Amino acid sequence: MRHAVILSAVLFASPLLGQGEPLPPVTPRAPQQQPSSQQPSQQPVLVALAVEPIREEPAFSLEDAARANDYVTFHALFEQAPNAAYAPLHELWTHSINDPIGAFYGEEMYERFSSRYPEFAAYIDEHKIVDDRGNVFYPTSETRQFLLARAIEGRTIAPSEPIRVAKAARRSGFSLTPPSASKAVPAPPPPRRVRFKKAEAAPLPAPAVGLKPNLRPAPVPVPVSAPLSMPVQPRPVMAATMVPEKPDFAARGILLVLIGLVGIGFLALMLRAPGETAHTDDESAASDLGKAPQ
Amino acid sequence: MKKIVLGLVLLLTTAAFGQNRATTPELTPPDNGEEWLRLSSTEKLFWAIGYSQGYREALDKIDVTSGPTSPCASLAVRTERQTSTSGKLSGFELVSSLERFYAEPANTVIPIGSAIRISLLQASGKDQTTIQELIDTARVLGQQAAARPRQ
Repeated sequence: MRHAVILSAVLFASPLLGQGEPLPPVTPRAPQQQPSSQQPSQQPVLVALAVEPIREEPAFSLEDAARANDYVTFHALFEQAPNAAYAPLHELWTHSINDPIGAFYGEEMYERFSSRYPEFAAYIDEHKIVDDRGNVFYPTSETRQFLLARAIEGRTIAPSEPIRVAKAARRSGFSLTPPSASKAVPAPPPPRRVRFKKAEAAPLPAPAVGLKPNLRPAPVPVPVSAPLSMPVQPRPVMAATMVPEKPDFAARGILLVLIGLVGIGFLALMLRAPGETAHTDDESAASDLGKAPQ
Repeated sequence: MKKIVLGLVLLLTTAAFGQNRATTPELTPPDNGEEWLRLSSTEKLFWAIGYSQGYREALDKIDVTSGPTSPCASLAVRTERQTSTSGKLSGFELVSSLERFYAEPANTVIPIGSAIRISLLQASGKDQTTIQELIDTARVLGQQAAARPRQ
């Protein structure tokens, strides 16, 4: 009975307590300013919003187009900005699109590519197709892959004759230091500290990533049958050459082997059976006490 | 120690099974341009020759299986023989025409059978509007086929 009275009291009290926080008063909006009659009537401005956000298309390069097998884009890009490195690829691809059997080509084009790229013959040899009459055909698709790789490397045309490079042996009457300095100091200074005069070679491009400048004097390639129009005194030409930095494989290998050994040791420790551990512990304890293990 | 030995045995067994699976030969004929472009040129050529021969064999047998005066035989004579590559294109030409057709990335979803028919119509000088309509339809069909799970 008593509980019922308390419950009914609570039920009656709850609506009264709920009125503690009345709703916020609603005030009417201020009337909007009407355009004055003196001002010219303005047309409502319509703003057309795009349904989807407008994104800029990523720049498509010749390489991207070639990789995507998109001839139309590749051709358009090449026509816009011809790139000598991609010229053989463009030539071949255009031929393959326009020729009725453009998926394959014959000896003439093969000779051209193999004379340009020495490694081409070995590459394409396994893809060639010989027909019933003994004619050899070479696939355009695989050749395109080859040419794309060469274009990415930046190679255009390999010389038909290898460039002869003179050996870097010191000449008898030549010293890296200026004549006055060579008189004062008999031993030649280390090559890194030598300051050369301005090289007469062509200006070098900016060093690429992973290349370090080698300041040692490099001989300039001498064409084999270059006719000399005037007598030229033998004169050393010094030019800085770029030598790719070789990764130290030996040190890295030793480090990996060490890490591997440590890892195997840890693994062996972790995977030791508990029985073995107890046994070893017993043995060590027994040896400490001078007793045989039980 | 036992665990290490057990692990090594397990590893070697798995490797042996994996090798057995890897040596099982598997060649899948291409369904669309994406798969076509993955083939080597030799594979493309052999596939094209086989396709032409198989198509011709099938057409020649329609009248045998369905009867010489059946609707199937007349349909084969009317339409299918027109789209047969046999006797019209060599293997080299078929490969080249497919390479041209799939040189547009939007076409790579088109099934290879449709691509061959469209290529043949293009080669026969069909008007460009009809060809484009066929290509658009084939793209839609190809996208629908690509969306379906493969069996």
